[in-house]
Amino acid sequence: MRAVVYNGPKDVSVRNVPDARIERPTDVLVRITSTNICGSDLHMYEGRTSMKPGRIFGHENPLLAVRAEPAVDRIKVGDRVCLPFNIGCGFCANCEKGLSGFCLTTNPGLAGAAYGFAEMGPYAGGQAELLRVPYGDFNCLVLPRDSEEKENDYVMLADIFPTGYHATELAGVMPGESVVIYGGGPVGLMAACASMIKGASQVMVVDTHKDRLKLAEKVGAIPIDDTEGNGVERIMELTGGKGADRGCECVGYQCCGLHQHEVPNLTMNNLVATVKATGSIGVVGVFLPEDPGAQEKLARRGQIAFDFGQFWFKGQRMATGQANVKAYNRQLSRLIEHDRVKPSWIVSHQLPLEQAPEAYDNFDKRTAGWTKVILKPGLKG
Amino acid sequence: MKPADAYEDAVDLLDADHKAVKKLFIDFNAMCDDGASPQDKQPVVDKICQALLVHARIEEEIFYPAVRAATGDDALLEEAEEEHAQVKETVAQLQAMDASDAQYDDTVKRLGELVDAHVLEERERIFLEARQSPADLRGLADRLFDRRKALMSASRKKPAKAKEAA
Repeated sequence: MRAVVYNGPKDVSVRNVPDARIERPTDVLVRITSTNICGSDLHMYEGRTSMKPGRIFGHENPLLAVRAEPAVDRIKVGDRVCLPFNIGCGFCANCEKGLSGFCLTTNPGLAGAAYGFAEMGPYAGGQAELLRVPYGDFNCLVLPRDSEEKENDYVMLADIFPTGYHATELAGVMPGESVVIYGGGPVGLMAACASMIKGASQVMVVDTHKDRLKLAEKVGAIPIDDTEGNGVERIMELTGGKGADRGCECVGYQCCGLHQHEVPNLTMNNLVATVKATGSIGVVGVFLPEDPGAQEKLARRGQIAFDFGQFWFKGQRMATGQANVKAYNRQLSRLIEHDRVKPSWIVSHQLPLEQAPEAYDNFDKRTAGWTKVILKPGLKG
Repeated sequence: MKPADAYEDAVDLLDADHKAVKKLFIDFNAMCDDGASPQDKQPVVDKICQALLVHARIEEEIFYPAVRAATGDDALLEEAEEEHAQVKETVAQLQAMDASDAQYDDTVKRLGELVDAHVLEERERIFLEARQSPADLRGLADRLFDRRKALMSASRKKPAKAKEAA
């Protein structure tokens, strides 16, 4: 099968690799119809993780089931399904509680497995023609029968829509509240969309990229252009000097200050500054336990200089971590089914799998207009 | 409840070692960044070496044979044993060095990389296969715990003796 293979830093290619195959009786084998490139793929693409050359990228996939093993009851060949990027078992202490992003079975030692992701188990990614899905009955979300025509919406259920929603859950967004979202990338935009669904009164999205801010405006958010570094003042003005009720971090450790150099504590400290006293902060942007290639000393050991005094003084709360996609994807799927939301509004490019190297290059460079790329293995170049 | 019962199974117990030693490597790298003295770095490295030797030994004596018997995957375990041999060789090099040697920090870092690679391999392949095999991982946790405890207390006594002999 054809697959997007990691060769080394900033080098991916589309190559012939052995077909994904069934390994256990609880597996489902699926044919990929769409697969997204995610911002977190870029951490690996840039060579900043322990990702080994030769592995296949991709964790945002909707698919067609092509083979289900004897121990799979629910999924039938021909079902259109969407897979959470997390791989859960369904029976460990965390999965039982809906915390499938921290499954204790699928990635022994660490909590949480994913397709094609560094440190998240040996599973191949979905930027390929076929994908092996462990514990198929638990992991596959069967999509409605109209899903083909809305595939670009449903593909967002694999990661970014639930992740954006998770940010608002971690922050505790309630109807009528104001929300400030740092990062207008795909996840931040989904957090804005989720805040609107929840009935937030005021949703502010902070970024420096004009194309992203325009997309934020389209779902009813207030774009805050932080290019000149005055975003904080703008938010305080919009919230009458108090700060927002809730804040979401949708950037992660690779956040940039002026002139695009990385300032890993920038968004966290701006959140403390622009969320009101007693407010709460949800952090879904990726931060790593160590980043040996970082320029800054603290970053190398996975630390940031955090305004903890201010955080304590304001009596704020914070919750962190990757989304447990299965906790939300079924309900969010209903919103798409009933045309309440159309998460494909952020998609800028649909490309054949063969054009993955070009897509990675542009997405990594934040080339204007490349907001979200969907790869279509069935599409011919 | 006996202390070993706190570990759900052999994999949890062995990976707790991985996490503990990873923290020591991160601490060591931070000390290098901060220009710490050889005297300050030495105890951290001693601890790393001791932890690695004990961990490798209980895996080789108890865990690997059990996994080999349950899975029949000889190649996988031979690979793991080879990685252990490299780790032990590097530990021996370090133990023969003085913390002020020019090559000391780099050798520790190289050891860290070897351990990272081995841990990744073990988590992604051996632990997963072991968990999916009929091996009695819960029962093994008790044996690993007791053996680790015995080896730890023995190795704590040993360095003092070595110095006396010198």
